[in-house]
Amino acid sequence: MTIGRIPSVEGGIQPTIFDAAGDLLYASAADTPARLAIGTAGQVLKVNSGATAPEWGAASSGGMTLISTTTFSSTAVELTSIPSTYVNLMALVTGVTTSGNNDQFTVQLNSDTANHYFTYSNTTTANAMAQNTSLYLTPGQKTAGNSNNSWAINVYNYAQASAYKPFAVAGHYYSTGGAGLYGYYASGGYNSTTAISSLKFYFAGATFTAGTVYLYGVK
Amino acid sequence: MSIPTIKIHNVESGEVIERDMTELEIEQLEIEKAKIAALKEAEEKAINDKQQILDKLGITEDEAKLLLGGI
Repeated sequence: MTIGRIPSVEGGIQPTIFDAAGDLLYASAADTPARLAIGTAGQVLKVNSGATAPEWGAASSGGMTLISTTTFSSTAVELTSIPSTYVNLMALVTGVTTSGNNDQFTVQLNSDTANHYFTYSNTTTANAMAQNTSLYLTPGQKTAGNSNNSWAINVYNYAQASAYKPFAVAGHYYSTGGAGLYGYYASGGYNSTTAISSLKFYFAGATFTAGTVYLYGVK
Repeated sequence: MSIPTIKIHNVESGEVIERDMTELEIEQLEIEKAKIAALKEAEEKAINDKQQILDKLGITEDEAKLLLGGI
C-alpha cells in the first residue's frame, strides 16, 4: 500500500491537483476541489472579499504608526497634509518651552478659529466646561521654560467627513504662577464635519524655544 | 518689532518650511491673544467674586467646601 497519496478513483481527488509544497485543498463550488497555492512569508489565511473562497493576505495591522517628528520653533508650528488612512490621531507633545511666561498653550484643528471646541477640562485647581475657538491646554496659567511640559492629544475619528470628532487630552505643565507642576485632563468634541488634515500649535504671545511633537496614526 | 513666524511641516512629503506669518495669520493671532486675555480676566473676576462672598460669610474656602460637601 502506498502511504501518503490519495487513491485515484472515479470521483476522487487526483493527487496531481497539488503542484508545490504548501498547496492547500479547498472546494471552489459544491463537489469541486481546487488548489490554493501557498502564500508568502507572514501572510495569513483570510476569506476573500466575495466571501466565496479562502485566500492568503497580509495580517491586519493595528497599533500606532509614527507619522512625523517635528521640533518646536517659531511662533506657531503647523502639521499639514495629515494622511486620512488611520482611525485616530495622537499628538505626543513633550518639553515645550517658550521665550517667556505665557498664557495658554493653544491647539487648533484645521486652523479653525470658530467656536467649535467643546471641552470639559479638569486641572489641579479647577474644573470647567467651555466652548472655545481653540483647545487651551494650560487653562488660566502661565508656563515657560520647563521641559516637563507634556501632553498627549488624542483626536478620534479625525478623517470622518460626516461626523463630529471626540478628543481627549492628558498632560501636565509647569505653572510659573503656581510655581509647580499642574495636572491637566480634558475631554470634549470638535464640532465640525470637516475631516482633519492639519494641527496647529502656538502660544499667542511668545515663540517656541524647544520641544517636540510626535504625530502618530492609530488603527 | 519682529514679525511672528510659522513653521509648517508637511507630514506627507516631509517638507518643512519656516516663514513670516501673513497679515491674516497675524490678525488671527491678535484676535486669539485678546480672547485669551478676556478668558483670564473672567477667571480672575470669578476668583475675586468668590473671595468676596467668603469674606462676607467670614469663612475660609476649605470651610466652604466642607459645608457644600454635605458631610
